[in-house]
Amino acid sequence: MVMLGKNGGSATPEQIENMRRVLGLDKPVWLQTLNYVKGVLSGDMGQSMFTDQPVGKTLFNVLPATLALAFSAMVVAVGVGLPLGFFAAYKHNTWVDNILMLVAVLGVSIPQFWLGLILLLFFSLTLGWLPVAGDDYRSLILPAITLGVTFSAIVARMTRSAMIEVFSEDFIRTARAKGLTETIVLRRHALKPSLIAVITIVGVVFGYLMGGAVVVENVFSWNGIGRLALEAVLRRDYPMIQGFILIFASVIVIVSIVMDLTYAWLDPRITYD
Amino acid sequence: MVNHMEERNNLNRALRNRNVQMGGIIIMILIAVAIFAPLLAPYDPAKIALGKRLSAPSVAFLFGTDEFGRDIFSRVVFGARLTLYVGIVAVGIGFISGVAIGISAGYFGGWLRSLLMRSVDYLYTFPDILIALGLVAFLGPSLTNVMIAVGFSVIPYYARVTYSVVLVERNKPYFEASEIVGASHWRLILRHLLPNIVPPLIVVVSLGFSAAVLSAAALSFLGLGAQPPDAEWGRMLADGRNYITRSPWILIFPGLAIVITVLGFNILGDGIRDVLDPRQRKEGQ
Repeated sequence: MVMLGKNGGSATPEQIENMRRVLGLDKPVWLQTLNYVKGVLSGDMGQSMFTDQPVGKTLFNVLPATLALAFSAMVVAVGVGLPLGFFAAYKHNTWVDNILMLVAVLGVSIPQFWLGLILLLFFSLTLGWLPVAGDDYRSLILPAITLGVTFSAIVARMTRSAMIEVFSEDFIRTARAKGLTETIVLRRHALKPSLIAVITIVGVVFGYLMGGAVVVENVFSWNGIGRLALEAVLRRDYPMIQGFILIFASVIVIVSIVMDLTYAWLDPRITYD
Repeated sequence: MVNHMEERNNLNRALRNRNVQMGGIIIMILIAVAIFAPLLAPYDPAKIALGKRLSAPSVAFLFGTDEFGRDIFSRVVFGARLTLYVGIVAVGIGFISGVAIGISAGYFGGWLRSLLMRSVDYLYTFPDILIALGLVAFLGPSLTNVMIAVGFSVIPYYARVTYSVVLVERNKPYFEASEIVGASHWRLILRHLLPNIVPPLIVVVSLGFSAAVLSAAALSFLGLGAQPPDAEWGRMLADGRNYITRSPWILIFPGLAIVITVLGFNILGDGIRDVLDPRQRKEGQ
């Protein structure tokens, strides 16, 4: 791939010099950085070096698709991983626990792109139940399951260790000693602390889930920000790459702030000054 | 100061732990396959035989052949070399830089600590694959750059563990005693801090291997790492993806190789953690 010709292209030295000036690459790095930051603060993230389209607009157009994938994957991950982790903790040190955790270790060891290709081969190419690619909700099912299943293993492991701690708390023992039925112990005493555990887990996992979305989008040709990012990296389209990292980082930071605030709401002992 | 009795005791317990045994065997097989690859592989992993393209698994081609007629078994076997190589370099970069950062921050403290640990915290917030993606964007796609990028992205894990161990050790009486009798910085760091840092880091190294192998395979799958005709497992899946309906073996075997390798390091890491932290073994995780 030759662009702006590193001596090897067909462009003349004058054309190269001209292009460098247009793109602002002739200026020192600190000035380029300053100009970039100035631009971002006034809502201008520059133009793609290839399509000349504004970076911000291009990325924000496909951001909802990525968020839809991330959130539906999170639903799968929590929906599958949480009950399993809870159950494993409840049956701590029994064969049920051992088998569940073996499955979970297997789950974290499977590469997302491989699981994605297998599901694609099975459900789309062989059985024809789901589309191979597309933009509607039916095309979202397989990517969401792929991403969700691998993270459900992580969620299950984290839920289990959090819940083992909760189950060994004094207030659970007291509740049982009072003679409350097991259902009431679980529902009234174990549920709320487990909610806090879930929030923590969601906060920790979310960033990694967004990272996984980049890979999964490219397996399923899901038209999100991760696909644009890979294209930009392969073409060395720096304004696009910078914009991608900036937006991705912002989303991760915003989610972790929301999680922190949710904590305070769930647990009155936590305050933020 | 390391208690040698305790160390031997840990080693004995580790060897009796079922996870350590299982993970250890898988990893030893992987290492053996990597070392003896030329003896095990029946064909040259790069040899193209268009007449035999997309042959199903058979006695001649155990795992079948790919779209260029190359023997997938031989490619998977040689892929073990690349995978181990990537893992060792990436973990090595993360380990050496992380330990250096953790020791400098914990031992010298002050503004150096704020600068180093704050940077590590920022790095920690971002998913590994994103850091690696950003770095590869600037370094260019190649397997070497992927190793550097993945190594860089795992620095926080090593730095944080090292830092916390250093904080604990440097407040112990024996450490203060050697400081008072005038031991040099180097002596304090090499003789007292380093031996205490290594055991907890073994867990991070083992789990780090699995993370590095996964990330590197994913980046190679995306076309950012290994380039054709390298027999790298992630790359093999990417190159063969257009043929999976007709020849599913192209998809199955390289993927299984990744899963088994990563599983081995994960189980080994879990086992070592159980041995080193008996409290956790009783209470969970």
